[in-house]
Amino acid sequence: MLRQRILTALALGLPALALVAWGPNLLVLGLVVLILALASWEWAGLAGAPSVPARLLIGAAVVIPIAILGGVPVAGLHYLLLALALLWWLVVLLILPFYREDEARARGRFNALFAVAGIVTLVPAGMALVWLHALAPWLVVYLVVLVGLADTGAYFAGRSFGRNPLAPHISPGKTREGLFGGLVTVLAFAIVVAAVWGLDPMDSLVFVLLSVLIGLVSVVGDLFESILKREAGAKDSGSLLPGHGGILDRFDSMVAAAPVFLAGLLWLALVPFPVTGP
Amino acid sequence: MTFLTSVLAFIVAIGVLVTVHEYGHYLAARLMGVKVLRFSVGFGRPLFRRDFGHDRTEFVIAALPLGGYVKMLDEREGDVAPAERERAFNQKSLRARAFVVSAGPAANFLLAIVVYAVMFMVGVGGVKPVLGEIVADTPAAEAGLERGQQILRVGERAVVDWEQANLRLLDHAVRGERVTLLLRDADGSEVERVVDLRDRQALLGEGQFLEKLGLRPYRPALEPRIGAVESGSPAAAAGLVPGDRVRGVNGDAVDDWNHWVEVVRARPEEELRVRVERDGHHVELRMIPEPVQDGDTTIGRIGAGVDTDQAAARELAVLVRQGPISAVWSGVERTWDVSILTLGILWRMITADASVKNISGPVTIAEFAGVSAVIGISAFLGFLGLVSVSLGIINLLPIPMLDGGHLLYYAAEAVKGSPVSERTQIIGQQVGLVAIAGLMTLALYNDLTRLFG
Repeated sequence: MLRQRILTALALGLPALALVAWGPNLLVLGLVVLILALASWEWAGLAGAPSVPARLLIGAAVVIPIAILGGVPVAGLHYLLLALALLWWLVVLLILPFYREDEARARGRFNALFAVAGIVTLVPAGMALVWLHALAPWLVVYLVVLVGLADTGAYFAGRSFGRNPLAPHISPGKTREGLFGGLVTVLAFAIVVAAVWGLDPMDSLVFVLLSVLIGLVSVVGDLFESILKREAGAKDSGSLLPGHGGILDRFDSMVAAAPVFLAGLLWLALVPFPVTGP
Repeated sequence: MTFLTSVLAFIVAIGVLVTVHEYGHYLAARLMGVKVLRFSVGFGRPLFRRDFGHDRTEFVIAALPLGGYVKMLDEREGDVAPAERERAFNQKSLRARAFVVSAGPAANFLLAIVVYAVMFMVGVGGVKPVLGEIVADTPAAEAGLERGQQILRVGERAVVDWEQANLRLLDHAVRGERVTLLLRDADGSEVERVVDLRDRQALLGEGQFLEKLGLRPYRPALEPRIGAVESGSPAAAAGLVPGDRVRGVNGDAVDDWNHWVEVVRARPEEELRVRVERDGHHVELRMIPEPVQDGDTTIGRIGAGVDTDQAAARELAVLVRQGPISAVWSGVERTWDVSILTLGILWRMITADASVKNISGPVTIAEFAGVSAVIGISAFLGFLGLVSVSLGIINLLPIPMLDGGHLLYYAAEAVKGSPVSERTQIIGQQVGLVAIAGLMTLALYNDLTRLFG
């Protein structure tokens, strides 16, 4: 299982990362559209969309806005959408602690609220990724590695020291110790990157804190997808990636992290970045 | 509503604290003849800017409101015109530089004194420190404390309410010593008891200090009359209003507030049939207590408070109000006490005797800001004073990038006679970055795990 997981990650992840690092923005837009088309297909399934046309319709509602927003210069509408995404994840964070599974509810019924939540989640995420790439390709690479490290750090810390559950009603496997391990991993990574990129001390501090915040936000995205799966009675979001479950399982953290990271960089005036490549 | 209050109260508190801190630096720099280029409240991108004063200092409000800075003319940070050289920070004497750097934290301590003094003049509502049930197998039980006794003195200091008693006891616990309490028995006679606070690890770990010490405030038998009803709560939804006198629940009579609270707590998510008396009529209401996590158990809650304007409660209430001079003195005293306490707890965290869960991030601080603002002006002032002291102390920690880090460099300069080398400063900066970012990570982690209960 672990072997298959690593192989899949290498076979698909590395070419994708190379494309992000060196490819043109338009090609990255294509990649983002492809990934989010698959993700919204899975999301529609989890929301219990009754038929293939219904799933395609939800997918189109996600993909078409991203393609349009990604293809035109950044304008007021982009900023508005980004602000909405921030508000959305704040709301998600505030309701997460109060989530309790309703055992008696009917499973498999179409849940329009979740379908809408999918559009609200995925559209800004796709837009943010393309936007980030346009600002500096390495920001996307950094974000992907950061989210991956947060997850990996949490996995190993949780396995070694995990004792106290983080959110037992949502994801019983997650522990507070795991969360802490993930954050410390992000902290170390961000400090090294800030030094390598030669940010001045004040910018370094702000950048590192933003990165740690993104580590937290990625957990929020993860927990939110867990609720979705719990409500749908599914273990994985799909089976597209051997060893990883579905596309959404891999990108649940990223969809939350991308808009918040972009908003933080813009708000704190950390971009234009002094960085052009390794 | 509470969310908005918290955000607003947090912005007011942080805005005041940061501005005062930076103003301390600014004023001291002016006094020493240093030219100030920029006065910034907040880090990062400027949102608002305006020039002011003789030197056209740029006043900035910036994007990240968790701190601020004063940028002074300095040859190490940019070119300085020869005519202005003597106004550069790095040209000033060691003493002048140390003065400018210390003035920020000093301003925070001064602000705390002022804020506490105003609080004491406005008057502080407190509850007389009368003991309720003593928890078995605790220092309080071993010392022979008894229910109904009132604490008059802790060590050498007289105390009139629970807050003071708590602060004094905590202070002795931090020092890990035995302390003599002077108590008044229910019959009026005074007795002394020695409480052993030497087991710091147990007392200062996670959880309520007073509870672990074995002390619970005495709760008088109150009539079950409703005082305040939270909007949006189950009580509000059921139509409970202030002034209602609870008469019975599920057919049983209710005569005491504590009994009523027990019934509600024991029945999360169960429907209660509540009979209340309103304007001489009896009304029956149905409500379902919402489940709330309390440690390992789930308890019920309806969101209604007791009417505290009752003889039994009034007897325990004290309003400590002081004249201006004694209020300023009390302000100094309180600032000193809180500083010592904060330092003590910091030290105990380093030696692992106290839990690092005591480090709060912005979310927790905002929540306390909101809660205290709702309670009233004196509670908010008390909160402001506490945070101001914390800010002053944290900034004095010998961590590069903070004021204390600069003072550390100056101390080294005073000893060896020449400034600390640039290389050392750059290494120091990295160490400081790691330390500060690490602390903030811990604070954010504590905030998030607290949110999930």
